[in-house]
Amino acid sequence: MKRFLIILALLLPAACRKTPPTPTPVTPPGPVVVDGVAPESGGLLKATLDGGLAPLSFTKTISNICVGAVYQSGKELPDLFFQCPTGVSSGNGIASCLGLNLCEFEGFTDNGCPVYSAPVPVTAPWDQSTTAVKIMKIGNDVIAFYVTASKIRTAVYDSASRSFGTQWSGNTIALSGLPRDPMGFDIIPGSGNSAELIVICSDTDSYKPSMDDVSESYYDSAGIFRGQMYYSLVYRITLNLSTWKQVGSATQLGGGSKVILAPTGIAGFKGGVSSGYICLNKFGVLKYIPSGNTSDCNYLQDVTGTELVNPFVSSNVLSIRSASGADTPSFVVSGEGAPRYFKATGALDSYGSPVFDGPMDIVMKNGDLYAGSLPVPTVADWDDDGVLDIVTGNSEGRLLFFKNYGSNAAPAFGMAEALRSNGVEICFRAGYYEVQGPFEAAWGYLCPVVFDWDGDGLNDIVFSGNEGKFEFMRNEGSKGSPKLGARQGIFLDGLELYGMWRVRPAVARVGDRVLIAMMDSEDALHLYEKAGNNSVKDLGRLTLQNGNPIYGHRATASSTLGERGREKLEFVDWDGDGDLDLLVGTPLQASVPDPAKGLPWSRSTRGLQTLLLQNTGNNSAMKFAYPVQFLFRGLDFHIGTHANGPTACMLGETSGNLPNLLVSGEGGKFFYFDRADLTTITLW
Amino acid sequence: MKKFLTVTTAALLAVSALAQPALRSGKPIMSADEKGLAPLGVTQAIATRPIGIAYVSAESASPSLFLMVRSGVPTARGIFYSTMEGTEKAGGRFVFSPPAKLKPYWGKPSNMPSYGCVFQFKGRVFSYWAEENTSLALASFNPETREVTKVASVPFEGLEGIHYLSAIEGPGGTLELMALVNDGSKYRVDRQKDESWYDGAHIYKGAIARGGVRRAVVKDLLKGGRFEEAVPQDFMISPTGTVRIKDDFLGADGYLVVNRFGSVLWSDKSGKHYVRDGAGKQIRYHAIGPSAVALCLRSGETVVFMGGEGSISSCSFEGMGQDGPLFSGLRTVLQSKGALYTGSLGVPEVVDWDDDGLLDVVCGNSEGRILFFRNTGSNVAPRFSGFPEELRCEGEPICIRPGYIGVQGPFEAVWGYMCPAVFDWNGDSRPDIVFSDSRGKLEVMLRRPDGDLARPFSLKEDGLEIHGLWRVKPAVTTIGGRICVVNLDGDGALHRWWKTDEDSLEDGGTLLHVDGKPITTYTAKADRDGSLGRVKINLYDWDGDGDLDLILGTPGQTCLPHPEKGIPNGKVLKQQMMQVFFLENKGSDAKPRFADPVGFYVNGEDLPLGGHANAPVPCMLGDISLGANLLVGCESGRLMWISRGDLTTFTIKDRYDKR
Repeated sequence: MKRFLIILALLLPAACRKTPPTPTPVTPPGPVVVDGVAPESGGLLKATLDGGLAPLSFTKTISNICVGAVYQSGKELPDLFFQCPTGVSSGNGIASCLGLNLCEFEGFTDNGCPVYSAPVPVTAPWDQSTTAVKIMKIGNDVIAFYVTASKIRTAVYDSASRSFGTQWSGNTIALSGLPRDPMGFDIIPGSGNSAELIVICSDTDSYKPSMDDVSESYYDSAGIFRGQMYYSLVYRITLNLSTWKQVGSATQLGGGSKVILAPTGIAGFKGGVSSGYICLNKFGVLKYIPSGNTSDCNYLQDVTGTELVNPFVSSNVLSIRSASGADTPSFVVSGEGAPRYFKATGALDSYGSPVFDGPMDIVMKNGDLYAGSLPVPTVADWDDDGVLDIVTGNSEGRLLFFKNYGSNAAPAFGMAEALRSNGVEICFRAGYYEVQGPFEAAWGYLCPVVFDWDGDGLNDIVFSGNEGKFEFMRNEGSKGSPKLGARQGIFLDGLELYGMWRVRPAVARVGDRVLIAMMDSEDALHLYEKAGNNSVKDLGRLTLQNGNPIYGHRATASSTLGERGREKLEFVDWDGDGDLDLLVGTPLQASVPDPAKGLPWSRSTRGLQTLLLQNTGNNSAMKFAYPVQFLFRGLDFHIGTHANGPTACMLGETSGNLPNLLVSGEGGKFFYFDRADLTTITLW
Repeated sequence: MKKFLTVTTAALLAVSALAQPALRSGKPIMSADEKGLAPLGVTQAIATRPIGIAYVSAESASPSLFLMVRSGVPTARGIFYSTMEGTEKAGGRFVFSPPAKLKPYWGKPSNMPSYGCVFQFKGRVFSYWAEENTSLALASFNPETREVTKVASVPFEGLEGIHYLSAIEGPGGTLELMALVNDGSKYRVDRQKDESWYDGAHIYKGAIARGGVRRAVVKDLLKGGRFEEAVPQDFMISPTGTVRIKDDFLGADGYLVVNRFGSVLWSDKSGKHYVRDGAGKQIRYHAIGPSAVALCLRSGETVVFMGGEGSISSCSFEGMGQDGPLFSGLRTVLQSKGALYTGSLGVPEVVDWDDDGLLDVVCGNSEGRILFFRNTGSNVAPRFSGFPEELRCEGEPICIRPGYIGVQGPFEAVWGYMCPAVFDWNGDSRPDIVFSDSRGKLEVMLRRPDGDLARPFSLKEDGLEIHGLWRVKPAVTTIGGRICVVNLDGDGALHRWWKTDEDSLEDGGTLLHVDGKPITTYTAKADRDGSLGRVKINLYDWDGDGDLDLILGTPGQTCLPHPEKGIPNGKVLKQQMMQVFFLENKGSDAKPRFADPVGFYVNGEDLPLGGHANAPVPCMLGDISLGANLLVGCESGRLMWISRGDLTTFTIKDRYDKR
């Protein structure tokens, strides 16, 4: 049945309607008009336009979970606490945001996006990997509730020392009446000493299928997932905050066992036009359970009546209650991407669920360039204005364009523009049938390379991703006005060119030939030659000087075959000897060129997972030396265990006419290395 | 260099309207074009493969195509020939006579050799047929009696591993035989029946087998010869046909090789090349597994005919380009007095697609395409052209295929098994397409104002693609103001979802039998593999009692409504029938409960249409005084129309009693 909004969308100001969420990139007139900043070797590329406006991001971490909102006097929005559970520790002169961070509200951009300060670390008593945390103000205290070992504990915030220390209550509370440990929770203070505790639990014990053999597929021969997809069970428990005890038994909400598939978070929602609970799942879907009604559960909608979906793999939803507590709350969704703000409109839909505007970017000033997790960049002059830009894929499956408004020596980047294919924003994902199971459906792992595939003088995009096939998008625009067409397959003898997943192909033009290298079905480097826009010829495997194939995986893999692949390849004449070498970005568990002994896995230390394979043959008959791993100023430079995304670039100081190195880390940022600071290490 | 066919005026087709009646109960719908022109093919065959072309006698003005049908209903299997009648006036496509069945020496179709070729030699027509690893059977052909008579077993060396044969008369009174041979790698691997063909990295477990060409030169047909490598065994993935082309004038001397994906390659002294048309575009056969034969017509034009699980096509050699040979683009080969052809495994809908007030046919097929047969007659006496339009998505013909990852392995990459349901999904009064296919997804293409369809999007539940068993046509309808979709879920049960947003559905649970159990489609003997799914679902008030019943088309191995006992249950009952079933709704649309399925007889008898799934749809074409009639898409690509008055039913008990 069609839903109708009670409050007409037309009553809302245009700026609040769908899709003003991302601040528009500043577009200075003319070619090079902005003074950029020379990139710092070993540092992160910075946003420089409009005061360095960038998505709110966290350094060296992958998932950044908004766990608390606390107002400071007189501010329109609360300060936010973020728990960053995974990533890399501080080192090489760059601080990590692992653990708990505080971002203070600073205002709004012209088009209404909330601006927050850069994260500052906060000390907390819970483990940095803990995500079951909620921080809120109760009375005059800022309290953290966190779950460890199935018990809720508390800590009080000391703003002077920026730390959570003493327990707010003397006791922990063990929850009863729940079928399993909570996957997420929220606490909604009520009147007096009472509070509601809302928890979500899985309705099954295990998701992954039994695996007698780790090489097996998660799917059966009918193409159906062999594991058990879980839904959420939602429970409400009354707490006495004075005695710090559960009062009565848990009440199940939402009408049964299937409130939402793949749940990840829940938020209490109190004030204004409606009270209830917002449930979030991995795919960014949001559902609403009105309080007082234990059976309803409806999708949240925006003002156009479209169901709201957060655009990336989502971990948590947090209610943003108004400062007075009287207005309808908004909320923030966070996870593996920059956090997004969904602003309450004060309207209700026909089911009595509140209507929201968004999602909007939450931004910061003086930020780093941020592309979402696991970016895979190419540095190329995408818009033909004579300076090098960055075009990058990311784990969401999107393709982003960072325009350079400065120069190659001193680039000036702003907010990214999401590129489109045939007019639709690119978001390529595998969907249900995914190497690591259907619950990874919101990851796309787009691995693009900018290359003139069809030889018409315009940059196209050749790409792969988590579907393991190699495709391209033709640039159907013109010089200075690129416009990507629909994705097209590349075929070998009529069969899709297919290999390991999450691999960026290396593509190069050698004379009048176009070569493309990828990781084949045995995770070995394999070379093909373009025979037509949609076809290739097989040139066989690339080999070492000794004729051996060059594999990517280690022999001792303990997990599933999903560990394979993931390499980011690039042909470049790194050493300036006139023939194409290979840059290879790898995950930590890769072992190039031999499963028994290879880089980076066989080294005992973690470093930059970027390898160079020098071509000791020539472009017609490539042979490669054993790989070497890059060091920065003689030291390892670890930026994450997921695959690095390296690309040679002529940004920065290039007086020797040889490229420098840009490497993306799993945390979504770009590390720049002057080649003069790079040395190498090898095992042979 | 382009050559033009110089066919005598007498051979050109006269334009005369041949009034083929479109609808005949229990028969395929016929083409309403002049002379009944339609793609050449054998009725009720799944794949019609050319195995030779020859002038059957010195007096013959036109060549005849010899065709092999190895699959389909038993009566369709055999060897056929079809004589060129000329060229179509409008498009210049070749027109052949309706195929006529030959009388081969092996008798029953089940004794048919696995491969063979027909050829012209010294003015007569002969054929070689697979026999043993050391010999081929030589047979003669009598065009008067249509008999193919074995002459002798002829010894050959190098026959091991051969799976395809073609022949062309060579210079100096010789015959050149070309054979395909695989590289010896094993495509299928041992595995548990329910185990995926792919490993945990989504890589196919077996080998992607390749193949090449062996050649033998024969001077005396009775003395045989020796096959030797002409094209390396690793030349191409899974070749399915090859012809030798030698044209001294145009400088060609090589082998044209086609494969199961329809790719067309060329091998000569300079190496491997893709075959292209004059515009440089690679030529590709449009369906799976073509064979290829070639003939130098008396006009001097060398023509290659290709045919597999799709219509037969031809292209003409035009000369050598910078990177291999150039051919004219592929064109469909036609026949007179033909039936409509949807491509194999057609899944039709009957709907007024072009909004002209008449019911048209919109039909998916195994190629992954959707065809539009426009009705230019009336609903009572429709007229459909033998040349349907391909529906387009954002300007390109729709062709949705699984690619490398397919339920039954990568060699099925070009089988799309498009199963469309036509329904106004977004309420804009234009019919949209809701579909599933060999990928098991449930997707929608919305109709744009310009008539094209927009790019597909997946339907999701809680943000995750709804994914069920493959090759299922979903049913889409409106119940109580809400749009519902019925599909087969991953457990093989009929499952209902309710639309909540343009790309979002919510779970409505499984459809239930009157006994309260879910209605499932698999047998107790079934493995969890590619034999599951394939069901075509319709919700329609067949009995006119005001609520929606189920009309299901199934493959032979399905077992409705429960695994332990049901129909058609081919693995247990081993009975051939038209696999179309009616399940009466004994409940209501809001709370349906379905009775046991009953199957349909036509005029009191079974009408077997093949083991693959039939695709029925109730339709208001023809005389509807008794209610809706039935249109059934079947594996052969024909659309069988059945008058309701000719339909009677049988029960599960009837079938078990018949055992």
